[in-house]
Amino acid sequence: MDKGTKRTLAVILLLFLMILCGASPSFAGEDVDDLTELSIEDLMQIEVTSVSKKAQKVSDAAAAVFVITQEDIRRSGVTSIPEALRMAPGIEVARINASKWAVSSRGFNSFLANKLLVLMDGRSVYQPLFAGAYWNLQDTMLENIDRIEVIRGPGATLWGANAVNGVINIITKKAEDTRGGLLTAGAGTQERGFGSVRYGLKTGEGTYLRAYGQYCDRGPFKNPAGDDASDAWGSGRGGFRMDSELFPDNTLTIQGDVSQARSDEATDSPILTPPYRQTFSGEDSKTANLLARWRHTFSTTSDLSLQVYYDWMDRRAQDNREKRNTLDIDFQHRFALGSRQEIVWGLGYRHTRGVFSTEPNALIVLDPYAKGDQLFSGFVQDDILVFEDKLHLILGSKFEHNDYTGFEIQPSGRFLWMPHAEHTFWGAVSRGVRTPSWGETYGTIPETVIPPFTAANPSPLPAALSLVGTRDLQAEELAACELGYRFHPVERISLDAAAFYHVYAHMIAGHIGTAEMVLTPTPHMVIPIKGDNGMHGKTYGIELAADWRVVPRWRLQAAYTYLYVALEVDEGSLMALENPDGRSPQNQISLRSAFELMKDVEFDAWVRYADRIKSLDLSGYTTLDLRIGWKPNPNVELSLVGQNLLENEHQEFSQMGAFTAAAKVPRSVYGKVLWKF
Amino acid sequence: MRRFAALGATVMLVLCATLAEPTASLSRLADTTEYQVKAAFIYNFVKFVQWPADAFLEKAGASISLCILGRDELGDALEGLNGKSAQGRIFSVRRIDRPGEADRCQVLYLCRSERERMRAILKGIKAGVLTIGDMKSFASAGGIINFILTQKKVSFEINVEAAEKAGLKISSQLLKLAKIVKEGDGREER
Repeated sequence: MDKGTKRTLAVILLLFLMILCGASPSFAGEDVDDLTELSIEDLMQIEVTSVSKKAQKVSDAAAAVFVITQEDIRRSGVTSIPEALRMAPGIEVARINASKWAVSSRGFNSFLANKLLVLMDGRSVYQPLFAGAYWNLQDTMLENIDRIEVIRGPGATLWGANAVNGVINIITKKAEDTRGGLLTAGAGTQERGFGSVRYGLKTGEGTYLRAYGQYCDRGPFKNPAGDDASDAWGSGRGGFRMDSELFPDNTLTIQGDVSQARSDEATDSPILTPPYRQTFSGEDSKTANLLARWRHTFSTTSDLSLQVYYDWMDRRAQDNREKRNTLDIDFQHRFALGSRQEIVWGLGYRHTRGVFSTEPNALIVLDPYAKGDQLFSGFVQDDILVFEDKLHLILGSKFEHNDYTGFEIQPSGRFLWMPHAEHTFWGAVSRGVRTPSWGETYGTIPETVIPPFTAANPSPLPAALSLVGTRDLQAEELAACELGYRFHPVERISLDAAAFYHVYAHMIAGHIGTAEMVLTPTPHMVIPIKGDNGMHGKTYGIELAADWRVVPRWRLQAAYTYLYVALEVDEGSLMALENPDGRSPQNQISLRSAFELMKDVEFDAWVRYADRIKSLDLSGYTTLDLRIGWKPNPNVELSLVGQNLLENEHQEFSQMGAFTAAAKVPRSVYGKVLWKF
Repeated sequence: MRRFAALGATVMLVLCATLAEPTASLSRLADTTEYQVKAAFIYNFVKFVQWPADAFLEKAGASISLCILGRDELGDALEGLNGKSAQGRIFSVRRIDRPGEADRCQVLYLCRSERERMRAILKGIKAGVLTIGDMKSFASAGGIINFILTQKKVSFEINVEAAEKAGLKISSQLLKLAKIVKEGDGREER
């Protein structure tokens, strides 16, 4: 399309939108239509799902919070959780290739991003191997998600270690809210085929159960050279959730999932024989988890909960395999102390055991290859009402003992000031800690192999430049100052602004050690980059979110992120797995429009801009996603979604090291049918 | 394999049974939110309330002006009533910024955000306006209808004195479903 055509199309679209906005009747709240046909007696018999107190609390939180709702997910047309996270300000999402994402909060983005904690219904998906999350394995049926709470900044007090720069809390709907059947199916250019089925029912008084199954098959991207990146993948998943009100004031939730993901997965790894780099392919991962949570409510201001989960993972790549078993127990108690204080405290215990086995010729080695870790944690937080309803002071600290750095304390102090219903101010000073990962402590991870008889390596043996873990690492430390403001002048408009200044110390870097000769698998030199705590730095930034319901059937949402990262290393140290700019764009913009064209037709658009990433030599990009949804009747929805429409393809990231090869994200289209029964 | 076949057959049976059911069944509405249900209540209330003769333009098709003051979830859900008709009158939903604007409304929904100034606002509302709230002590503070939630079901309380003072006649059919409260009841409640 040439520029003229584009402009003409844009003008036509704009005119079309303007004409439609002028048209008068509102079609918002379609469900109300069904309900108004009922009599008052009937209405009095409907059990309603109450909007939880906790959810409202999050929006009044003394922290930088953004909530992605089920409606946001549906209208955006995204097909995975990491793609949905692009809606939140302050979050960097880059798709490395078809099956891999780099996701982080406030900088330091990487496939191995290690300063963000991800929870699914209270279950941590933290991977001790590199202290991050495997995003291709963190999925669920998107229709099951109630909301995703994105908390930027150190959420350490309540959520624990490694919530250094943020917490992502994926919350699925209660079984009670998913009664009846749901079937989805679709296909497109990249989404080669997907489908899901869900059925929920009431099994007894106060007891609800749902089960779901899901499948997807995704096509390959092209690598920067223009060839097939051989990164096609697919996954299948199934699970259930039961919520029961066994006795009054006692609720029990039991849920579990099993999944399998298979990818062609191009892993670009250094090897010891010419050409010294090889693309491995094929990865097969299986996961399973089971969680039980019991909550007892004493009163509106006091409750107690106990949660136990077990998580299992088996990730098998071409030359290595990681198996992991995790058991986690969490206890939490909330109560009011007098009329002005609310105290939450809790205790937690986690045992996790991983086995990392490698093929005999693999360069990546963990020693010991099997390791069990224990984590003991406790936290206490006091929310003090200082002045009427208007000023809160929130003080708390997390205490934990881990097997890597021992005892860690993470205190925070926050205030929340609501001088008027329209204005909310908050501020926080907190300390966060990122404990070293298993890989950083016990691993030998090859970065590159330098061929023999070259200028860099005149010796007759190939030389592997490898990150070599050490046991002397300290935890990375963060001191964070944050300020926020929320403005809600009328129901239709809200604004949220947050500014932060983060200072990091003892960040993990490395220094070149003495080269050694290693005889296995074939004789070669190892130039070790020994881990140390020789990096420090600061980041600051601004995150804005705006929400404007122009007319009842047209909503605009905008997010802007500014991030500045400056990292430095001590003399002798070098940035082993980090770049001076945190590998994150300085500016990001997201603009979403959700529009009801007609009573049963939705037209949604999403424009995103990400600045260049200087240290990766990647230019910025702008993309456009469009969605048209049609509901011929209340139980059926047909939608057509176009993604990344502005360019044939664009590259969002490139990952260093031996983990994953980058590819270009192409333009794509898919169609989807959703049927409620 | 046989097990899969059995499972498939069961699923098909369930599907057929569900499809055969009449569509407007209550169970299908199960996952509606509290606020949509409450909005439907408000739609229905109007049918049981008689306004003083001067409150409506006496021509057929006149609209019922439903005003929303403040902000909360029910306020949002009420926007869905805009353009719907009840007993030949069309709902015109609008948001107002000041209590003074409520004089031209037949129904005023006072959002939870106005909780702190609830009493002051209610005092200033002129006769002929049906005041509805969704917060503790709204009716006992002089509001006419207030929602309450008991065991996940929505019900409502009516302050009959306040209705009389406003010159509104509420049908006995509605009153018998309501919990009747008086001015000042439960003032000390949380």
